[in-house]
Amino acid sequence: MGNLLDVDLRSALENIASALFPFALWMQEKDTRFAPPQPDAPWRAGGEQLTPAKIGAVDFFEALLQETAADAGLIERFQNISNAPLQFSPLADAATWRRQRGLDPAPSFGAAQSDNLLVGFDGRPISRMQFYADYWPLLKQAVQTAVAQGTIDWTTFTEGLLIDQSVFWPTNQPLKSSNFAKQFARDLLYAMMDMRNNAPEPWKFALLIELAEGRRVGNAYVSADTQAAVDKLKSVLTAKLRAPAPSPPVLPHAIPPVGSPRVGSPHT
Amino acid sequence: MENPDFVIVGSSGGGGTISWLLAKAGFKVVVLEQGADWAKPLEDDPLKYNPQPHDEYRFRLERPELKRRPRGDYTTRRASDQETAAPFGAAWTGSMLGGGSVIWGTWSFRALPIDFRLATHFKVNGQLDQLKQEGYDIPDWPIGYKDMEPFYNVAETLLAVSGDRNAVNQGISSSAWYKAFKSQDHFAHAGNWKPDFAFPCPPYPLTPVGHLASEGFKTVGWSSVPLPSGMVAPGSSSYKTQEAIEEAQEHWVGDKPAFWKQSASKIWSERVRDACNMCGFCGEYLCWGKNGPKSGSRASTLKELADLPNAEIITDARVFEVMYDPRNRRATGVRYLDTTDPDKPVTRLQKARYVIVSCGAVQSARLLLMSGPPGGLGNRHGKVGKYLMFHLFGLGATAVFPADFQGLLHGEFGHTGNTMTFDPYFINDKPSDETHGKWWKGGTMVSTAKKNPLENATLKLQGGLIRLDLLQAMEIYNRSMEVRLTGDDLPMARNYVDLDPKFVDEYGFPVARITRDFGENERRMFVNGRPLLEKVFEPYKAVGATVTSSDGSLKLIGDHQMGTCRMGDDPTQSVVHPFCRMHEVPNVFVVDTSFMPTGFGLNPMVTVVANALRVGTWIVDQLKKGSEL
Repeated sequence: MGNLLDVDLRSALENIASALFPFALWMQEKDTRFAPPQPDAPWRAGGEQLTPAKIGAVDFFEALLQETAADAGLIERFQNISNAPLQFSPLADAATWRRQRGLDPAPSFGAAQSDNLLVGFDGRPISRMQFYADYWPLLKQAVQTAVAQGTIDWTTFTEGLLIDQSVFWPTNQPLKSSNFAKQFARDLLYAMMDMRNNAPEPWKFALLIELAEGRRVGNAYVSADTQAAVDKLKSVLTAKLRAPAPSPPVLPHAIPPVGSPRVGSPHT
Repeated sequence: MENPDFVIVGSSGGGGTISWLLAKAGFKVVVLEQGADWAKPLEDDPLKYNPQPHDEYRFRLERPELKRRPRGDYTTRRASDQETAAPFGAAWTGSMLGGGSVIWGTWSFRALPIDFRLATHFKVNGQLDQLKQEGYDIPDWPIGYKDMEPFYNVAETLLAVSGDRNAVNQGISSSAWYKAFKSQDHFAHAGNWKPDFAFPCPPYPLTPVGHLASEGFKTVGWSSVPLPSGMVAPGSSSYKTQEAIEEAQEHWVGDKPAFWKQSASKIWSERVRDACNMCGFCGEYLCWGKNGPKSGSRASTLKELADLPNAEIITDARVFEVMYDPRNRRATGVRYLDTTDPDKPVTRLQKARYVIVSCGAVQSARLLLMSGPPGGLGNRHGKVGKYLMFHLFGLGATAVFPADFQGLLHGEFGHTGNTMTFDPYFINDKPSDETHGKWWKGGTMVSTAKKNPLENATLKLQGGLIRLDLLQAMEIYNRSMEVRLTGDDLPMARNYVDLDPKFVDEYGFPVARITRDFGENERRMFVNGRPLLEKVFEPYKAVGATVTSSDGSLKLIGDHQMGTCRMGDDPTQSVVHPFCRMHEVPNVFVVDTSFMPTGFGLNPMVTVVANALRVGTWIVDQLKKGSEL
């Protein structure tokens, strides 16, 4: 545990994280569709509840703030370049060089627009440390207001943040609660799926396990592994083909097209 | 290094290969790479396989994305010259030592013989005029498959390609388009359709995703081929490049140049490469094996180069100008920014007798346009940057299997592709009556596993899903797979790279502007190709699979960028001559994908490596003979 988040803030973030990722509800619902990939996992057999905090997500998040603090310097430098795009040109006379080539005499620096910086949900470059620092007072105030009205229902509280309809969120200020909640959800995904979180196993991989994702840091296989997997697939296929044709699955949401651009960055 | 013979700009399949060959032949060589040497820490680590690169966020999502784009650099993009281009993140291959050959997908194909003769082919079949009217400018290559064949053999040894040659040959010759054309003279004589040089490694193991695609191909009546892959085959005890080169020398086709008459032990060290162990962090990732399981110049030629006293590699070197002396029409070297500290770049000059440009088709064109006279270096006829091609990424079909397949597809095994087919390399526009339809250029179709669950989840979140909806959508990824068509993108003059008039990079240089739209051939491919893609998954509808498909996307560009410095005999119509030497500046060569007159329907890496070997061999021959280039 680091020292960037005080006890109250950490507690609020853990509750919001649980509301953003309602694992218990999801597991109950998905268990009707496919068998738990690891039924003896402690959050299933051991009676403990699966939450983002148990996966180490909030601890990871706190470390991430520290780790990416230097991004602020780059954003500031790029902002500075935007104000005078030719200031770091090594050419003796960049303006003349541009004129000779028929280029615009008033150039622009578009790195941020090109998505080569971390961009928040409002489309602006962010350094996590600065981004969240702006939100902490607002979040604390919202929690305090909610507490003053009784026990907080964190699901309702978080839903309000996500759609900018929180009755607790401070008004008369420009920061939208949805940008905070979605960015926090994005960082939690990173914390829960990239396997750099610090939780003990199997908690470290809990979300991947529940998704039946086999990807793990340090995976190594031999052809016998792939052959066994092919054989198992074949047996399931054969059994299914013998069974009456099922209805196509109802997809909760449209599948993105093949080769969908990566996050914010159309790319091959 | 003082007064080197060659300065090579860029270190991927082109630059990384030719630099080694020239240095091995005894010339003094300096390689400048704009990125850092990402593999060095792994190489210095005691672990044979260090899991540090198994980090999806760092290799797929992190910004700035330094493995592809230098910090503060970007491109702009528009569909036509009627539009204003906007900043854009793609059209980069790799910015690290080894370039795109470090983070490529390892799909390792030779071009097919007919790819070198497309203009003739379409003329014989009465389609060339239509293509011209549609805006295409399709030339035959000034070289043929036979010129490339011995170098393809060597390239496959350097890339340790895993595959089954008989299956590849059979896959091609059993396709309907092959049968339709095989009696045509130009087709039959385009080159060796059935090479017998065995791949240096056995095929990559079959995965569940590969199996599903393979069975789908067969249902359509197509062949299925293990995807040739640039990786030391899993299960191999080791890979000895020297021995593989010896095989290629023994199978040399045509006259063997002096360089290749040396014993293999003079050409390559005893270095041994380790086998791939299918960790699954592959395309876009730095390989975790320190001894080069995944192929690319960083794992092969650049390691050999580093052993040579007459070679030097300089990283974090962003070249911004090829120095040019108009009095004798020759380049004198390059100027670059040493960005070891990117906040405090230092301008440096590297003189050399010859300059070899290999920065990828987009950035090579940009560099040449920033060099020499205001119109650009070697651009008297306005051809630098023209005929930009990408493959039609995004053209594919997705199958989502029902929930009882959760965990059965194992997208985590190995690299992204596994099985493939050549059957849609040409696509008929009358599928119900192929004898009366016309065959248009398509591409290779490859099975594609879903390998990046974090990236997928983040995309879903950014698309508006949250809470239970998000978790449900994340599940589906695990039981999904694709087949993708690497669709050919025929050359048009209206697709090009130039200097953006408005936008500049961190150091004030104009960024590359990409102007590119689809033409009628691409649209035909969407219309006629998508049903074929979907058909592959048709059998799985019986088990409840849902199938969708999509067209190519103009925004999915970058990995396979080609054209921009067309190779040809006519200096008014091309930029480089048949050995990739600039027509107008004879001591400058361009050896990345820029030289390609047409783009094939397959990954160009093997062709780029083979061509770099061909050009390097020619340069060595010429200089050893005493010719001044």
